[in-house]
Amino acid sequence: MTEERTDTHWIQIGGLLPELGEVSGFVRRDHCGAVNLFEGVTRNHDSGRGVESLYYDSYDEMALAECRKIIGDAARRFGLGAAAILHTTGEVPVGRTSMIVAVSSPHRKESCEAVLHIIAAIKRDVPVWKKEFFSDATTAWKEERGRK
Amino acid sequence: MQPVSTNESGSLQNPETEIISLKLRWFSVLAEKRGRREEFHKAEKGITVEKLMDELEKEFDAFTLYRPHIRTGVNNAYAGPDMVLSDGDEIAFITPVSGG
Repeated sequence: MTEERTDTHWIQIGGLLPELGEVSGFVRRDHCGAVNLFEGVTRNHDSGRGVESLYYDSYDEMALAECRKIIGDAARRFGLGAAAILHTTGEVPVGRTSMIVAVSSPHRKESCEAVLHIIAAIKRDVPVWKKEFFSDATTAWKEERGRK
Repeated sequence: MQPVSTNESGSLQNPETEIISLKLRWFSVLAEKRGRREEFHKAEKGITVEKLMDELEKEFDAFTLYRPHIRTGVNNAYAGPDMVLSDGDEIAFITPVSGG
């Protein structure tokens, strides 16, 4: 597990995810009227196929560095009080959380926009990969789909 | 005419050709295909990211398949194909990511 916690950000790659209340408490600031939390959860289907679980691989050191950049950019763009990105690795069964993104900002609009902005950046740049375990006992890395 | 010398195995060697050692990191589908998550690779000093990828294509079929989609990380930051690599650099080959 790789983790970095400062006064204004909390990044964790791998390991067990904390309770949502702990993450919410971390980003809460007196000058911020909005706290916004997002959970990424394993769903039981993808592209019409049943899914049993996901497995996440990561390049921990670079994932942490990219998350630091993403939070820094979002903090400047949206005036955030604090932000957190926490992503687990390994097996994540259906219904379990793989990722938590949390931010605080003075007003609600910026907090909502910041969460969407951060998630889009994670999905574009953070070196984390998922492997799907389907109900028919087959498996595939996400980037492998359509290449077999 | 270039001066030549012999190395420990007795073969001719150009003394102006310096060899550097690079640490390669593999993840996700490429780690599975490669059968390992890291290895060391010897290369000539001055090699670029693109030239390194050319070398790997010659001995790793899956790399060729994914190459158009691979981004490269050097020492934990994305790097372009023209970046010149240095001894001890860590290079990661990053297929399309899918976190979240």
